[in-house]
Amino acid sequence: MMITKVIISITMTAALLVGNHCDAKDKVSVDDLVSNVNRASYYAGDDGRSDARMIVIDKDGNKQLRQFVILRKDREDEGDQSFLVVFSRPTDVKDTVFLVDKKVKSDDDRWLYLPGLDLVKRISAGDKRTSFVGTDYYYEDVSGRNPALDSHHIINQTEDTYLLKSVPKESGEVEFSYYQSTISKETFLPMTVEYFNDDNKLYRKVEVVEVKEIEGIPTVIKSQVKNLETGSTTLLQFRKPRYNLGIPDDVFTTRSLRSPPRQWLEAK
Amino acid sequence: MTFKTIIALLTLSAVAFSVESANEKTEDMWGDEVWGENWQEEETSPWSVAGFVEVAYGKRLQSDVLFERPETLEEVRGHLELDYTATGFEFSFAGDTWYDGVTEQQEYDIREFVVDISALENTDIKLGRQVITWGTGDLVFLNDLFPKDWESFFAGRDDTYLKASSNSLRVTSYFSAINIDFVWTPVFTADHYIDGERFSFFNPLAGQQVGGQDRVNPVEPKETLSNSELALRLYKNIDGVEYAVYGYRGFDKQPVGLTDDSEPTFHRKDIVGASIRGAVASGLYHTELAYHDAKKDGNGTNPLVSNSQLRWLIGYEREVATRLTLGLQYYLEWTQDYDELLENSPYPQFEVTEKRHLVTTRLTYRSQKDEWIWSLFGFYSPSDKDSYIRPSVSYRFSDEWAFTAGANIFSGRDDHTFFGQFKDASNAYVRVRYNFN
Repeated sequence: MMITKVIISITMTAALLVGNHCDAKDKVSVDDLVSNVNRASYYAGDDGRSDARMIVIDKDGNKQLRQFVILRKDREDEGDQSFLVVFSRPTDVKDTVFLVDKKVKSDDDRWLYLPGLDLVKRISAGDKRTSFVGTDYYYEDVSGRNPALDSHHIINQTEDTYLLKSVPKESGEVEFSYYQSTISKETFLPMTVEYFNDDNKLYRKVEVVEVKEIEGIPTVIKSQVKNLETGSTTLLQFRKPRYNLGIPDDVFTTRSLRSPPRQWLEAK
Repeated sequence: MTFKTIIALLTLSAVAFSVESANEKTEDMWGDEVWGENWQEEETSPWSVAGFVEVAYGKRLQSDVLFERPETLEEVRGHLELDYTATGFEFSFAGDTWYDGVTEQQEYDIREFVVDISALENTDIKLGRQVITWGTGDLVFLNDLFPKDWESFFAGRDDTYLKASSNSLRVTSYFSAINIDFVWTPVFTADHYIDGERFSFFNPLAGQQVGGQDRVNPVEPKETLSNSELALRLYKNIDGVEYAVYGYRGFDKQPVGLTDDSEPTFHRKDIVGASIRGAVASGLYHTELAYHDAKKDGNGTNPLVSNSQLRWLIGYEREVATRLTLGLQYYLEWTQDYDELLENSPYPQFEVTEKRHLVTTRLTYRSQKDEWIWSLFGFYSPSDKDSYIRPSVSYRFSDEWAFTAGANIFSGRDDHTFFGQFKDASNAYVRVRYNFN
């Protein structure tokens, strides 16, 4: 009885999801696709929180751990949004807090709080594609790359996926010459993103490993990034993600750097 | 056991650790054993513990006749952090103990012993021993009069130790119009300045370097309520531009004044200032102004009191190439009533220049995953004709092991200028740290 109910409900949800996207499925415009991908990847719900941890494994098998809680709030769908990341491990980044005011029309404002010095450090907008706390992820992977910075083309599609090629408009600002995303037609999540260098050589690959439906929203639970040049891999895992919590605006101010908002950091 | 042996042992164990890890295969990358512990069942204890053990060694690059031994840093240090989080408040402890081979003493320092109450809607209260920082300067401080440890900074300890702690009450209130940060330090807390214990300095009264056996023993302000330190900051972030106004009522943080009996002391000082920090052209700019008012010497004629100063800073920082960041600052210290200062000074030849100009550069290169950080910070004063260069390289081998090497290089034309007096303090150092949690 119970199982039947669950199955019915899942089928209905799936039907609803498919139903929503059905018309667009075969003749989707690039702009719509890019917009859907952006929404699915970075704007699920109006806000969200999740526990997260990363394992960095270098080519020799040495491992490092990063553990943090991430909070997000959208000012506007596909528009400005804020992120707060509070680290708990390892020792040398414990209590470090990272705040981003992501702006679609101008450079993001970013702050880092270094607890040992009680220092609120501002980070310049230029270095978005640098390592996120020593992992193979970039800051830009965490808060999302502005789709307007690249020109996009659908270069292929299968029954389940689109293949999207994205070329930076200003090539001097990034380390890749283009990237290709394999996008699920069902969820609009980019299941793989492959980065190519000037020699057309694949050197970096971000993959979704597991997706779970959370509050009706397909949510990446596990993903990984491989740096093919260095042989280093970073695994990223989320735990207890939640959406639409009603996190107030003032959680995303520099106040939270010195006094992290404990009530929003704890998993509900 | 000598220091060389300790460092050799630590290096060996690090190498052994690396070989052991390399033999592990990462076949099932997503298996639970990869993560080392079961996160799903990890209990959420209100306590958290972390810390490190560090060995550090540094020595002079030249000799200083006032010191027999060349070592400027020789220590084994333990650092422990303990936090307790509850609803509405948090307790933090952070403390260090180290055997200091230079002073040949076991030393202790509590960096944090503080209760953080954030139960009130718009106000955070921190009471106890704590480290406090504000202002926009990079290693240049105009409105931040919270205690600093220049000896640690010059000796090559971790940059964190530049900021010392004070026993204070800090109240920060957030309003829609403006945020207010107020700090009350009941008992005046001086900087840990260069007092001759580890490095010598130029004493204008003696007309020569002082240090070694001879140290500064200043007269401290009396511990009365009226001698407590007050610091205030009003600040606001408007569209990503950070505006702040500052006030300080207290004392010189270093014994640059003299009593009537010619003993070094800390004189009363008030400060008002302001700063702006924001983003421009993929980079960050900051500018800060401060007027240091010598309360005991309004017209600059008293030779026992340092004159009032107007201080101004402007800086810009940006990533100039992949993972290479360049920061530039210009800083001015303009001594007021300069003619009066020279007329009344017993040693006009050793007085500061009227306008002390300082240029700083910071160059930081980080490797792809931040394992290696190469840093070069330079202070250069065209007016004093002196400089202070801080090269360093650090290697983060793992979450546990970190290695750092660096140097503090002072030079100058004259013996009495800000950096010139530390010519014989130039040193190089290494540090090995093991983090735990």
